[in-house]
Amino acid sequence: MSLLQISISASVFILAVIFLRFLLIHKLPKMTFMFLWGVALIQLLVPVSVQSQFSIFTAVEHLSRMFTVPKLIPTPESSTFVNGTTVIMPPITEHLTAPIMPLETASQISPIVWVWLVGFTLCALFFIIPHLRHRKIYKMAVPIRNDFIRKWQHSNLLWRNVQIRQLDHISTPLTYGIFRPVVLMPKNLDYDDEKQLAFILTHEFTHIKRFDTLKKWILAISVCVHWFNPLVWVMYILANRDIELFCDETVIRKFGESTKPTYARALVRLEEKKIGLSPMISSFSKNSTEERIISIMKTKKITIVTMLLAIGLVASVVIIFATSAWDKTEAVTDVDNPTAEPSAEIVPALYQGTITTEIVPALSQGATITDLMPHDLSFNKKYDVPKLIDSLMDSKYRAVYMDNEIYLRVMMDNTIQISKDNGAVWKKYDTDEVDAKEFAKWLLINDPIPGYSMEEVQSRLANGAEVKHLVFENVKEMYFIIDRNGVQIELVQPEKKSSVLIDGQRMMITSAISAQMLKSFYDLLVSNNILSETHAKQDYSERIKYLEKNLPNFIVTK
Amino acid sequence: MVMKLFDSELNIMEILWRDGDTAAKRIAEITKEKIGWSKTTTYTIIKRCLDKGAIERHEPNFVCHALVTREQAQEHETTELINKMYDGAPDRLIASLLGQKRLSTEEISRLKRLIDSME
Repeated sequence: MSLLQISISASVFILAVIFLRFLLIHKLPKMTFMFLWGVALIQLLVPVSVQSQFSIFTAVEHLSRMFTVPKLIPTPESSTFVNGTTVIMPPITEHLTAPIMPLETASQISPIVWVWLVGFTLCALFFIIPHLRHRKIYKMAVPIRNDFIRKWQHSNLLWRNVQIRQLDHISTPLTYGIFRPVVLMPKNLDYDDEKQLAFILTHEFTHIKRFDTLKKWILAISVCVHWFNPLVWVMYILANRDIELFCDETVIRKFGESTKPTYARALVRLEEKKIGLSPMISSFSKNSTEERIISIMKTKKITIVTMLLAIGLVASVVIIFATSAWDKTEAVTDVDNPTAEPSAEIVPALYQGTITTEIVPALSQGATITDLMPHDLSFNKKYDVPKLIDSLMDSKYRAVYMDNEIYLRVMMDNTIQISKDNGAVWKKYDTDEVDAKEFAKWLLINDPIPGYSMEEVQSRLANGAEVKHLVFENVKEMYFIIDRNGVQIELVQPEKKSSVLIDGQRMMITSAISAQMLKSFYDLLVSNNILSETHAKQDYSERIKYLEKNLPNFIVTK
Repeated sequence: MVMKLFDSELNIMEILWRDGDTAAKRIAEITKEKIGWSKTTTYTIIKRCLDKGAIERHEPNFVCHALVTREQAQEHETTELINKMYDGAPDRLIASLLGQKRLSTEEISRLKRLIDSME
């Protein structure tokens, strides 16, 4: 999944949590929301998705399939191909943009990645610079001499050594430091009010015990990574508030419900201390303090009923909104591009027996990015792809591939030969071995059209397929996924080029294709003794007719 | 002349008033033992005192000399700059942008009434 997809699918969950929080913030134990924000953070920062049959994305997928059915009804011409001879080949997935995270050699970084990097850096500085500046001041705190505080600290020892110090730059108590926490007390506090001191210290120590500073940093990281997503910013603000509310709730539980008004008044007193020169009033702040006070006053004992309600609600929200569609990891992409795969239920396999009418766009400036996706081609005549593949299997080659620059063939011993002069001279090329697991991971992140033939490739990789890697002079790279079923080529190239591959399983044509290119491809098949010259000619002319008739953008260069 | 000084700065001045002119290095040793400041922190505070004109320094060894007397120094009133600082978490700027502005007197009394009504 790309970062954008992660962001979008997490947004759905965040929206659900925001809605739930709006309705039930004062009704449920605050733990509930801490847990939900935790799930959101995992979604945002850990690129793993969990599937569920009850996921909202499963439902969306079903709906989108219902609405896209008309597109999949075969045209009259193509319906004649249905009679057992039509083949849809899952196409090779070719990289449309430079990879986001190159596996080995760093190729060019796309402008979008640059924009993201700039945003990320600015955002990170936005957090780090003020933090460092304030930390410098926090360090100037002086030891505090107060008997009550000393005694209190002795009876509340934590695993980490906590320092309590005093600072006259601040007006409300605060805690900083994750591993060596320091509680800073403002100077203008009533140090004789022991009740208030106990509240403050318990509050700050609760933050320390729960590593709340660390939580806030993780929230900050999620905002930096997803800076382009406004919902993540909203989550940041609300989750920070909920950390406070959860802490308040714990303090009240500890001191007993009867202390609620005292605690709330202590809070208002601290707010009062802040009143100073500037008359600036933020309505947002009013809301957050008010929310905090209402939350404190409404704190109730957790009954079994509220507990069960909370657990049930959390479970259903997580299952519905935080999981991806059943059986298809990349459900979101399919919603965006429903025609990418005719039926999500069918695992991409050898011959699916379904029909699509795909458009092969012109390889011209006019073509948009979406037009330049890899394409299925329906082969319908007697010298059809299955037969080509059979002939290929009988030949000395496991796969043949061609693009504007090279002819390539994978030999029976999995060595790779390349010709740069239309098949006149063939040279053996040395490849690097790539770890299949690493590659599988890399592919998950970088595949431009995830979910396409992804599942199949991933299972091949998991079942011990070998991965070879080849870098060309012009920054083009190829990964060969080789197992006993065949060879698949993953092409990584900065520019858009059309290419054709036929291997042990299928034929794939990526991006746009011209008549010239198709001709060369049949020449390649002939020169490699995969097809006889007559068959090649016949098949070629029929293919051209088919393409010209069905695809107005098809370029015929004679 | 009256000079407003923070507690941290007063701690440095205290040493100078008590021991007379002292080298920065020596001040750092004292504050480390007495207050637990790192050398960097002590130097930062000395720098602030210099900028305020509370002390001056002499080469060699960065010897510090108090320019104000104990009587001229006054504790800084906390309310002035506190407001922008809220907690030790990484949300400083956002907190001040969005959440943690001070409330008006009316707002405070409204909140007090709210507590009373919910009690």
